[in-house]
Amino acid sequence: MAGDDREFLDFFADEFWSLRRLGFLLTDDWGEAEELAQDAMTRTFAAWSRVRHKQRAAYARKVLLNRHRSLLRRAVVEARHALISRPQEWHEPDFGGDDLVLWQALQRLPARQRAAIVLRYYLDLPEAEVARLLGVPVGTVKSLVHRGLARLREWLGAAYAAEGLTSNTEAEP
Amino acid sequence: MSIEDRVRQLLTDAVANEPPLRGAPLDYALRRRRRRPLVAGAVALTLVLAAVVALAAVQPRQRPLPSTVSTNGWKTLTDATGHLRFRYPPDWALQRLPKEDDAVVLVPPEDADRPIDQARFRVTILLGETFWIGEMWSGTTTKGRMPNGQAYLLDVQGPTATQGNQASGYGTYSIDWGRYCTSHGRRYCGPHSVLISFGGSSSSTWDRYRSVADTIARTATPLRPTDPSVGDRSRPTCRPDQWRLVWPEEHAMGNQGQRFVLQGGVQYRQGPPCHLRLPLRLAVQDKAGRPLPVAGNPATTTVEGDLPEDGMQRRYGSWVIDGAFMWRFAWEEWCKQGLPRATLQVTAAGGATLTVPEPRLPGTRGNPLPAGLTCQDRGQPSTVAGWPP
Repeated sequence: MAGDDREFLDFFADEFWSLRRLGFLLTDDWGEAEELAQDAMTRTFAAWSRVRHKQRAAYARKVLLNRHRSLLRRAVVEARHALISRPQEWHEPDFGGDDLVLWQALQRLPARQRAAIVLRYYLDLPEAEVARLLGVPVGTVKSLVHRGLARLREWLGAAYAAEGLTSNTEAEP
Repeated sequence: MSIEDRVRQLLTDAVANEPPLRGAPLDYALRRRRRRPLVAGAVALTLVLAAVVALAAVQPRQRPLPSTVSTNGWKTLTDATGHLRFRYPPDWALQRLPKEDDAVVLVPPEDADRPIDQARFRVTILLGETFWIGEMWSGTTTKGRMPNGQAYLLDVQGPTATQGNQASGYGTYSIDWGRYCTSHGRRYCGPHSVLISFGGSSSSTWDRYRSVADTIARTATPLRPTDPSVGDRSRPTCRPDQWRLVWPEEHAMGNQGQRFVLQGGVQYRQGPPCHLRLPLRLAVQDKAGRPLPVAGNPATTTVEGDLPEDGMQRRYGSWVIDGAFMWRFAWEEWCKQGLPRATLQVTAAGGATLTVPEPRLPGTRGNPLPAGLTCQDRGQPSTVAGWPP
């Protein structure tokens, strides 16, 4: 196997699972998450000579997010015309109590709010990087995260309703 | 616990118990990539040899030109999928690559019982899905025509020896297979190419089989006559507002890092179907626009094809680098000391212009050279030319 391929294999081993988990947090569907991660890896491999030395993981994430966005558009069209019904295998997290409430609330967030929250709090990415990945200004990321957390607070009830928001508006790196 | 910490914990817990994979994602990624035009031409098994050569301390040796090999008694393989027929020696073993249906491998009799990846010499034929000529730029490139008239480029590197290792070499024919519509899988109408790579893990196998590999390549023919890959010249000429130049920020290196390749394309914008024959010029200049003392500067090349069919495509946020309108320039000995920082300006007939930043010197941020390769000032002239040569 050539050097390029070996290097990609290492990258694949390091990043595929992380991409798949990111895909699941965006879609609630492990099968779709796997496809997203596969697609992201395929596109990254196709561009390997260009991205191998610079932010390749970020490139793969960006591809996954773009692909997810296009799947969302397609899903909207499919729902509108009720043409396609895809069987799904459900592997739900085993949550109960407030965690289940929060998980369900997260699922109900608009896609961009949810993506921003996942990137910000699951991957712990700085707001500037989230902005780059989502293709929006940093201010929009702040807004998406702020509004998303506000909705989650609403769902969780009084215990979080009065909590401040300072921690998600930190200075840019 | 703050809402942020709560969300962090929840997201981590949500993916803590992952179900097993449904498929084989690595196979999927590699297979898909090999079918894409961006694939460096490369059939992985042959690239093993390329990697060895690329990282070697080079000790080039003169090799005799390939001699003629009689094809009497050779077998014939006809592949309708690849729109290809070729002949090979009757005692050579033919295999399809595992999990690949668009490549076949030939190995000599003494390697017939070995796994493919342990063969000491092999010829790999990658059946053309799209058009991809001249992507192999690692070694010495020559061009010519096959006995049946198809134009080809041949890139050969080696055999080279490293200390403690045997010499190895490889080569690739990229052959213009003409314009036709595929009849399998994704329907694609346009120009196609066929890649035939060969490699030997030692000087002895190289010397013994190189001419056989050349002869196999020269027996390859399309199953039916194809239209010229340059497209339909009877169409109206494209207007300047129907296309634009694009540069996908793609740099490539060859010849141990001494060759910098700049490549871009032509994107369709609007208007009725048309034909475009587009001369292009690359000027290597300083920031004030003065030409740098590089032999061949400015360089020229020409691309030709039909719009909208052959226009460069953008998928999932990145350009698909292939097709009739891929233009390329090669700058040899590009890191020569004493040259001021350069700007690369590509100009098309009609005035369209692209300005591309200079390639980065080794050791500087953004330098595109892979690890193990360094561009060095070898005291040789710096030259620029359209690619393929």
